[in-house]
Amino acid sequence: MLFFPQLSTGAIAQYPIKKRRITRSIVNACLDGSAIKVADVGGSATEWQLQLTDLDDAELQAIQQFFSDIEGRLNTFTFLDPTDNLFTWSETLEKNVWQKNALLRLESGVADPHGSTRATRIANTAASELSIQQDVNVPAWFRYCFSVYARSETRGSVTQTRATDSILHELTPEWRRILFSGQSTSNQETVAFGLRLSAGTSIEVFGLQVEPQPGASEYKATFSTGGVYPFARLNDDTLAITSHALNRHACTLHIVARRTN
Amino acid sequence: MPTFPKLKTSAVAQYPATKTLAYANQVLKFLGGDEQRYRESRAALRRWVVRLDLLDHAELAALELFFLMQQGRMGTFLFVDPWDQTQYPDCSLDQDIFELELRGETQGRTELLIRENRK
Repeated sequence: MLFFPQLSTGAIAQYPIKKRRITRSIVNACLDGSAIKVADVGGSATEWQLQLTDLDDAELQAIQQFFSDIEGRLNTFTFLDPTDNLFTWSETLEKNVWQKNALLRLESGVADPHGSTRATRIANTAASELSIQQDVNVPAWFRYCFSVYARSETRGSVTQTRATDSILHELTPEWRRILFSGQSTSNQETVAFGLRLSAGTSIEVFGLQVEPQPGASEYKATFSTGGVYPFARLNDDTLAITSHALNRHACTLHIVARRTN
Repeated sequence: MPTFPKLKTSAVAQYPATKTLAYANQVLKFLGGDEQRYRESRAALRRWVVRLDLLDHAELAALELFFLMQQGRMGTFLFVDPWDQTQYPDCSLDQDIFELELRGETQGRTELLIRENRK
């Protein structure tokens, strides 16, 4: 599978980023101003315009190679939306996308740091460590930032995991955003991001988010879809590159994605 | 009933904001200069243009999610007129395309078109 490359900074895109969400509705407008509407779900798509500047030779070569592998508009690739959260169901940990042991007790509707009640209390009632994790179909060799708001009344700890890597955090009763940023050398095309709790620990979590970049941006809630687009295409057969100086290049890419091929 | 999302400032719109009131009348003009006029709708239809700038990622994501939940022009929601706080319970987005631009961390920009529905 082909993936849109990350830059040397670990980012997928630079500012400014333009994004369009496209839906299609059939509207029958009546003379009196009322309307009869039908949604055409098959007509929906998402488009991005990525303006890349100050690319060095290596980054440009990666973009050019990617463009050649994709052959312009011909083939599909997986695109990781730089403006979105790669998890699905980021606030509904009861969903099946979240793999968990039955002895891990979940309680939703808990007060969260944003003033609402969208946090989840996770309690490990077993005598051993237990995990809750989600498989995300992304390249393991990319750089990611896995972030989550967490707290623990009993000052417990939680381990953030990314495939076989992990980092331990000590929690306090105050909400704190914990991060796990980095990349691995694995060539797997699926990465499991999760939380591991030691026996008898109870914590509260909110805002689970994975982004294809080194740092964490503001939390974006997701539901049935996240920021992974497996059937993205370039919207141009031409790649125009402008070199402004030695080792300084620029290009603009237009990407379009539908949820199915 | 869904409600049009508010920004972190609790506002639904920023300046410059545009509102239109539109009647639908037919005017028939005759050769002699006479005119015949009649209504095609009971009352004026309202439309709003909400231009938003300097949004952060979370605010933009909330608006994007609202657009997706509405499925563009398909859905209906309650909209509170920012001019006079009047609630209009049956409004729809007047666009099937939602565009956003992120120029920096808290420099998101987008525009939404809202229309009052006629029953």
